[in-house]
Amino acid sequence: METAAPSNPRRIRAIAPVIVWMVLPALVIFGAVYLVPLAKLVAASFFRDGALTLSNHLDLIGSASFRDIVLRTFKMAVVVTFFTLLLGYPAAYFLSRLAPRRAALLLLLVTVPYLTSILIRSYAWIVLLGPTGLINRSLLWVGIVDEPVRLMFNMTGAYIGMVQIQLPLMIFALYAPMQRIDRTLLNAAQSLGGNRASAFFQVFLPLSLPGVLGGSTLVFLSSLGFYVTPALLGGTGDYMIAQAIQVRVSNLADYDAASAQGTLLLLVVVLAFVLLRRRLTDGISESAAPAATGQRVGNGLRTERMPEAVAQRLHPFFRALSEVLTWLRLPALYLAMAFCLLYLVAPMVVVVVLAFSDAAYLTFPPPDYSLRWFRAFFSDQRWLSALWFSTLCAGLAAVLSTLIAAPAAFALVRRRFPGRLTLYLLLISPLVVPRIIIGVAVLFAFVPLGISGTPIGFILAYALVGVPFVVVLFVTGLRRFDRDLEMAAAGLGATPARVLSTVTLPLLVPTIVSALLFAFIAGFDDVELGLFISGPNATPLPIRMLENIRLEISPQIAVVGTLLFAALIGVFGLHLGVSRLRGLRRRFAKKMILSGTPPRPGAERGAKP
Amino acid sequence: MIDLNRRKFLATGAAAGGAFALPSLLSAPAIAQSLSGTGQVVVYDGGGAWGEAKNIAYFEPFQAETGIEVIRQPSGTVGSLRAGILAGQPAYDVANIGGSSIDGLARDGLLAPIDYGWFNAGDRDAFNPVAAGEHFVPALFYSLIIGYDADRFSSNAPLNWGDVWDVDVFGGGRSLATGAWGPDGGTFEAALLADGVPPDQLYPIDWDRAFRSLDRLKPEIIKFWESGAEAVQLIADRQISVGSAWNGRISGAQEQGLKIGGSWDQGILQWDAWAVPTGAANTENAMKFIAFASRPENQAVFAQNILYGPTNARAFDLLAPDRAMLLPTYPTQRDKQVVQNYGFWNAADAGQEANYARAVIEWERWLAGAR
Amino acid sequence: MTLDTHQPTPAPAEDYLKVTGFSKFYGETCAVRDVSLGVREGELLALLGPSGSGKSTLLMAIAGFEAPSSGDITIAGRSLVELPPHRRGIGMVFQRYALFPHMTVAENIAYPLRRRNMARREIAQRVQEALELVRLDAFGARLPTQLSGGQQQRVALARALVFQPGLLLLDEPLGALDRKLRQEMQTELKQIHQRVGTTMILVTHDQEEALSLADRIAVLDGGRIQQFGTPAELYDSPANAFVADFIGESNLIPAKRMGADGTSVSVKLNGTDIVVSVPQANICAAPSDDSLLLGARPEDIALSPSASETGAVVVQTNYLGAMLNVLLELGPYQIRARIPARLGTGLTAGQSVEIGFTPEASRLYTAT
Repeated sequence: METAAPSNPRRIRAIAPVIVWMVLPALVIFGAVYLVPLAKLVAASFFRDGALTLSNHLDLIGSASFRDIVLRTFKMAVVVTFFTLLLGYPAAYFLSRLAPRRAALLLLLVTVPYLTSILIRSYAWIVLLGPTGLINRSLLWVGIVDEPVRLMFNMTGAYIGMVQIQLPLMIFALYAPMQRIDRTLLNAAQSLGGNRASAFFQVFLPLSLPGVLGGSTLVFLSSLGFYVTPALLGGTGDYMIAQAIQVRVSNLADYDAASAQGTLLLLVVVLAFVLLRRRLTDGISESAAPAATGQRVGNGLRTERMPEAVAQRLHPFFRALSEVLTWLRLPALYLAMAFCLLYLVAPMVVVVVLAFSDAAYLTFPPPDYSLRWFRAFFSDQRWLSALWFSTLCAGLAAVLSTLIAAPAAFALVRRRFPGRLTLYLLLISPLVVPRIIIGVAVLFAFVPLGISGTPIGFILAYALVGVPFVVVLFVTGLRRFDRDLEMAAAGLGATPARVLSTVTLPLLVPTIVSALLFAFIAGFDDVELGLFISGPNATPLPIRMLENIRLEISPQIAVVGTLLFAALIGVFGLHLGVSRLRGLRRRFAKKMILSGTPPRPGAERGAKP
Repeated sequence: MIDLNRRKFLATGAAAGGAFALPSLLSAPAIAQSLSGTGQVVVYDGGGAWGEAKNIAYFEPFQAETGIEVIRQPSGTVGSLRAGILAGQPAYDVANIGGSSIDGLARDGLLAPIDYGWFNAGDRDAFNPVAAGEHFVPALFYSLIIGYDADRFSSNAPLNWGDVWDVDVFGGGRSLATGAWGPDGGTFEAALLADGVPPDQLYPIDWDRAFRSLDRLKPEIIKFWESGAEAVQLIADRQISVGSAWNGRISGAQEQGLKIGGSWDQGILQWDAWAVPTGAANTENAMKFIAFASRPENQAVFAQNILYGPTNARAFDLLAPDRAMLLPTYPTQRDKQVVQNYGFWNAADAGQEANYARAVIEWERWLAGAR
Repeated sequence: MTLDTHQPTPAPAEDYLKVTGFSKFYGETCAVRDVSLGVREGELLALLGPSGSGKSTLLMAIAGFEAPSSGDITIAGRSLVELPPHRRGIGMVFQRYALFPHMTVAENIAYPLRRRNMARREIAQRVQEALELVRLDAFGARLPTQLSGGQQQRVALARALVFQPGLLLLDEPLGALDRKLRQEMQTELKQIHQRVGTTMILVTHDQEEALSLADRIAVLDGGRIQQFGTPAELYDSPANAFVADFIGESNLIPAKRMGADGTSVSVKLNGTDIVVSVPQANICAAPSDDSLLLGARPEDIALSPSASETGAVVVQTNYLGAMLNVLLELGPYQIRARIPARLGTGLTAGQSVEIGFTPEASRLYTAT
C-alpha cells in the first residue's frame, strides 16, 4: 500500500532533490494554470443555487438525450479509433522499418493535417467529397458509380474528417513502441519455419499490442472531444458531447451546466486513464514484460480451443493464405503508406490551390488564379500582427514547454520516484481534456494574475497544451537513447553538466526539434484558449481566422494554411540538414568515446547490417 | 469639469426635450454632441465585410472626430464575453451582442446602463422597430430568410416557410440552422410558420408543434448549418435547393454572381445591439462610441456598405430608395417579416431555465429521438 | 597446404552444405568476396574472424536473410538461393537468442512444430524431449524473461533443434554470457552436438571457442577465407601472417631472404644479425618474395644466457606456474617467448640473452 503513495511523508522526503528540481517547473505551471482552475470548475458543478449537490450530475445522467449524446460520442470515438488503427498500423509499421532519419521526414509530413484551421480543412473536404467533388467525379469518370455517392453530411463524412485528424496521433503512438520491437525475433520466426506473414501475426503483432492499446486509448480519449468536424461534415444527427458543452459555454454562457457535463466526461477520461495506465505509461515503464497470451497448463503449452482434426485440416489453408499474404505484403505496405500520405495531404493540396484563387468565394477549381489573397494578407496590418503575435507566443511557448517538460521527461524515464505514473498521466492529460473547458478554466486563473489578454498569458496557455507532445516525444527519444555514451563520457572525466551539453543534448537534437515543432503547432493552431484569453493587444491568428470564417469563407484563410505549409517544408529542409549534421556528429562521438571502453554486449542493438 | 457639467446639462435637456421635439433631421447637426476625448475604446469588430462596413461608417470617422483611438477586437462568443465580465476583465468596451443574449446579461448586472447623455437629441427615440433600452442600443437588423437555387426555381420560387416544407412542389435537399443555437437560427419560428401558425401567435413557442413540423421536413434535411457562410455555400454547391439563410449572405452571394434567390416573406427579423460590459476599461469612450454609431447619418453610411438594416429609422431618410429597398427594415420588407421576440426567449417559466436554454435541451432531446 | 589460400578448397563428394563463389556487395562495399567452402554431414564448422570479416554475412546468407550477390549455396546438392528462410529447414540460434518474449518456454519450442502442422500430442512430446535435452524440463511454463542468460541460451538451442533441422547455425551463441558460463556452455554444446549429430556452423570471433568446439575452422578476414582446416592445422601450420597471429600467438618479425638450398630458405631478421634457416615445408610465400615475415610461436623460441652485445634483452617476465612468459627486446622488435618455468629461474629484466628460433617450428610469410 505504501509503495507509491505520495501522501506518505517519508516517501516524499525520500525523493532526491534533483528529481524535485526536474519536475518542479512543470508541476508549478501545471498547478497554476491548469490543475487548480480545472479543480475549481469541477467543484462548481457540484453546486446548485449555492448548495452542495449531486443533482446537476444526476439530472444529466437521468436525461435520455444526454445518454444518447454520450453513447453517440462513444460510438463515434470507437469507430474513429478503429479506422485510425486500421490505417495507422501499416503506416507506423512501414515507418518503423525505415532508418530513423528517413522516418523522421515522413513523420513530419504526417503532421500536415494540423497545419490548417479545421474550418478550411472541412471546406477542403467538401471540395473533395461533395457530389461534384473530385472523388465523385473520378468515380463517375471511371464508371464505378452511375450517380454521385453521398460521402459527406452523413456519418461517412464525419468519419473521413475525424480519422484524418487523429491519424497522426495514432501513427506517432504506434511508431515508437514498434521501433523497440527486436527485429531479429522475426528472423527467428522465419528460421523456425514461419513465413513472413505468419512471423508477423505470431510475433510482431502480439508484441505491438501494448502500443496498439496505448495509441488507441489516446485516440479514443481525444476523439471524445470532437465537435467542429462532425458538425461541419456530419449529418443531421451527428451531435456530440463536446458540441453540447460548447453550446453551453459559448451560446448559453452556462458554465455550471457545461462543467457538469465536462466533469462527467473528465470522469470517463480519468477512469480510462486509471484502467489503462499500464499501457499508457508503457513508454516510461522499465521492461514492459508482455503478458503471456492464452491459457497455460502445466507444461507451458497453450490449450487450443479448436478441435485438432479441424485445426489440422485448416492448417494448409492458413499456410497458403499466409503465403499469399507474404507475397502481397510489400505492395500492400507501400500502398497503405501511400494512401495514408495522400489522405493526410490531399486536403492541404486543395487548400494551396484555393490560396491562389482569384475568386472572392471558395470555388473549386478556382475560375482564375492570382496572388490577390496573398497581397491582401500581407497588406493588412491586422493579419500581419496576428501572425506575428501567434508566431511569437507559440514559439516562446514551445521553448517554455520544452524547458519544463524535457527535464520532467528525463526524470520520468531515468528516475524512480513515487507518483511517477501519476505525473506522466497529468502531463499528457491536456491532450484529452476538452479544450473549451481548459479555456474557461484558464481565463478565470489568468484574470486575477492580470495576464489574461497578454502575451504572457498566451505563452503559459500554449505551453500547457504543448507539454503533452514534448513529454511523449522526449520519453520516446530517451528510451531509444544509448546511455553507454553518457557513461563513457562520464568515465572520460566529463561532469554531469558536460555530459549533458556535449553528449546527451547533441544526440537528442532530432527529438528537441520535433518537440519544439509539435509544441509550436499545438499553440499556433489553438482556437479555444484564444477565444477566452484574447485581448486588445493579444489577438492570435486563429481568432482572426475564426472571425473571418464565421460569416463568409474567402480564400483568405487558405493563404494562412499555405504559408504554414511552406513553413513546414522549410522546417523539413532544416530538419534534414540538422539530422545530417547530427548523423556525422554521432558517428564521430561514438568513435571518440567508445574507443577505450569495451563494448557492452547489446549496447548497440541493430548496429549490425 | 467643464465637460462634465455640460454633459449633465445636455443630458437633462435632451431627456426633457425628447418628448416634445419632433425628430428633425435638419436640427440634428445643430445640436450635435461633442464626443471628443482621449485614450482608446476597444470595439467588437466582426471581421470580413461586416467589419469593413463598420470601419468605414463608425471606426474611422469616430476616431477622426473624437481623437479616441478605436481598437478593433475580433469577435468572441457570448460565453467568452460573459466569462470575461465575470472575471473582471471584459474583452470589449463596446460589445456587439445578439438580441437574445441581452436580457440575461443585463439581469445579472453584467451590462452598464447606457449613458444617453452623449446622444444627439432625438436619436434615442428614433429607434424602430426595436427601441433602445436601458442597457443596450440596437446596432443592426438582419433577417433569416428563405434562400433558394435560382437556377432551379427561376419561374416558381419558394416564397414562405410553407413552400420550404413543400417538398413535392419544390424538390431537392433542405437545410436549416442548427437548433443548438436556440433562437439565433430561427429554426423554431420557421417550423411553426410552416405549420400554419399565424405570425402574431408564434409566442410562446409550442414546442411539440414545432418539433412535429420539423419531423416532417427532417428526411429532406441534408444538414443543419453551423455558420452563416455555410448556409449559402450549400446552395451554391447544389447540395440543397432551398433553406434558411441570412439576408446579408444571400445578397453577398448575388453580388458575386451566384444564382441564389431570396424571399423576405415570413423572414425572421433579428437584431444585434451595442452594449457596454460592466467593468469595461473605457466606459465613457464606449458611451461616446455608441452615441456616435447611433447617429442616422453614420448608420446610413453603414447601410450603404453592407445590407444590414439601420436601427435608427431616420437613417432611411438619408438612403437612396433603391438601396433602402434591399434592407431588411425597409418598411414594405419589414411588414412581411416577423420580429423575433427576444422577450419570450429570455423569459423563463417558474423554476425553469430561460426559453433560449430550454430550446437547446429540447433540440438535443429531439435529435436523440427522446421527445 | 597450398600457398594460394584464395583458391577454393576442393570440396569432397560428401560435403553436405556447399558454398561456391559466394560474394556479397552492399552498394560499392564488398562484405564477402568469392568464398567457397564445404561442410560435411555431422561436422561442426566454425566461421572465425574479427568483426567485419564477413562471417555473419555468410551465415545470414546460408540462413536466407541475405541474398548472395553472386555464387551459390547448396544443401545435399539442392540450391537454397531461391528458397525463403522458412523453407530452408535450417535451425538457427541468434546472437541474443531472439526468444519470443510473449510466449512461454514451451510455446517457444513448440513454435517450429506448429508451423509444421504436427499433431498436438507429438508436439507436447517433442517439446518435452527438447527441454530434457537442454536440462530445462521444469521450465516449460516460464516466460523467457524469467530465465537466466544461460537458460535462455539453452532454450534457444532447444527451439532450433526441436524440428530436427539438417543444419544448425549458431551466431555468436555464447557471446552474451560471462566467462565461466561460456565454458560450461561450450562443454554442453559439444555434448549436444555429439548426441544429436546435427551439422552445425558456428560463427565466433573467439578463437579459443572455435578451437575447442569445431571440427574444422574457416578463418575469415576482409571478406575472404584466409585458411580452412582443422584446429590443429590452423595452429600448427598457419597459411599466412594473419592466421598465425589470429589463432594463438605469433611473433612476426620482418626478415630478408638471404639464400636457399633444396630443403630450406635462410633469412636474416631486419636490423639484426640473426639468420634463420626455415625448412621448405614451412614456407608460405612466393619464391620471388624477398621481404618476408618470420613467424614463431612464443613456445617455439629458445633462450640461453649470453654475454653478447647483439643478443636480446629481457624486458619483463611473467610467471604462469608451469610456464614463464618472457618479453624481450631484439633490436627494434619486441619478442614474446614462453619457456618452461624451471628453465628461466635466473632471468631478470635487463639481462642479455641469446634467442634461438627452432627451424622446424618457424614459418615464413609474405609481408603485407
